Amino acid sequence: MSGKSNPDPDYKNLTDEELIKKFQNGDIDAYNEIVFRFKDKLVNFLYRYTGSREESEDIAQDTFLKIYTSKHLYREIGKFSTWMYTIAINFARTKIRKKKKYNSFSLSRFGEEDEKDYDLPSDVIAPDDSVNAGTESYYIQKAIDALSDKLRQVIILRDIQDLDYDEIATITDLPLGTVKSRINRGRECLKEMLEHIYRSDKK
Amino acid sequence: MDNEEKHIDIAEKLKSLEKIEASHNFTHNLHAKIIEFESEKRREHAKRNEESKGGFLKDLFGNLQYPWLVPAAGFTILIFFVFYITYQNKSVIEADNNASLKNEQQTIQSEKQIIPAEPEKPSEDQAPPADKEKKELTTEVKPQSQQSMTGNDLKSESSISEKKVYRERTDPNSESGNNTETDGSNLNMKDNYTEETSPDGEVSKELSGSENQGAVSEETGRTMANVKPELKDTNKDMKYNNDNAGSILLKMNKIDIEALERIREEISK
Repeated sequence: MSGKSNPDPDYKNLTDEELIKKFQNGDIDAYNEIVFRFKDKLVNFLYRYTGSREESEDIAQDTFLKIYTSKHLYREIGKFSTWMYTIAINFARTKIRKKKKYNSFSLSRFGEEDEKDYDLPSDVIAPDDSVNAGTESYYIQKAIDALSDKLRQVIILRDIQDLDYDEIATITDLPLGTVKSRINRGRECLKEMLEHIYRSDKK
Repeated sequence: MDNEEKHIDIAEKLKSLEKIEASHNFTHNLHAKIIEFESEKRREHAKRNEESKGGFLKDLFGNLQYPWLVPAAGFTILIFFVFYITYQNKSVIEADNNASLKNEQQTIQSEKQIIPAEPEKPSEDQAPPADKEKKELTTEVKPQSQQSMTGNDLKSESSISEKKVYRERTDPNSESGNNTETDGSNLNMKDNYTEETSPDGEVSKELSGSENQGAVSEETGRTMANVKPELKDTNKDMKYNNDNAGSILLKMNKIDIEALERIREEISK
């Protein structure tokens, strides 16, 4: 693998699927172009999903490494981005599960996690959050973190990553109707939480 | 799209969130991870190669890279073993057959050697009436002769001498040309083979019983010398083919017993 951060400009005109095809044939520059094209998107998605910049970068790197080692597993049936987000979500879930095992402030540990749509956000401010503390994005991120896993991933994929419903259905391996209803429910939960946060913040 | 419109405010808030970018050292860290992964892969490959150096069989079956080879190799070895045994047995059988064929050929040759030593049997037309009687007698004596097939009797001096006597008697070309049955000059015929015998044969007629017996024993002793080589041959032949040689000797023995009886009768007379 070459250490180039900006690959050949000819690759910029190629689609994601063409790039991965080239990489499957041994073209390492195509892989560099993929990394260059998706690293920010993936880190952003993972930051919103995990709430930690360090973890998001770590998971994003693991995702690209997985693409590098398992390039032969990709089939040109779906979009490359769908395959990449699926890998990223699986890594993120595993990471969050491990994290929750040892360090969790969630109230859901005392009840059934799947039944609850969201938890009340923790009052403890993480080091990453300290910069944005008090801003709107900080509260929104707090509200997203408080959402249950199944609602959080669809909300991020739809409203932050701007993916269409079909793609989200493929990534989450859920029916289209379920995806839509979850997105709707997630938005309602976020609204409620933000109102609650703003109210408590005003007090 | 009612839901979209209903929650458009929250959707816009989410979209308006600042985009987080990857750090500057993101690709560098990614490259480091890839290099680490590849070096680990190489180490594992080297380790696997070291483990696989345990020999051809271990390489085949130890790591079970080709598990289907185990039954296949076993089956091949089994087939090879079966074919090996089969062909080995065939070669042994062929060798036995060759040996038996050689034995048969040797026996045939030995028979050919024996046949000239046998008395020339006169043809039925030329044979004197006495021969016909002998044939009848031999058929009667058959059980006794079968018992004498052991070979002990054959070795006895008397039987050997009697064989010789019979040969002389039955020989139609003999110089004496006397009819053994009518004039009873058997002893004279034997004298044709001895140096001391008088040509006219009168002496033998004048001999007393005891003297006659002595003369017979002398003659048998002399004839032994002539017969013994033949006997040795027959013993050799018997080793190769007991049936053929035995049958020939059996005939001789039958005739000898008959001849001996006659000689005794004449002596007693």
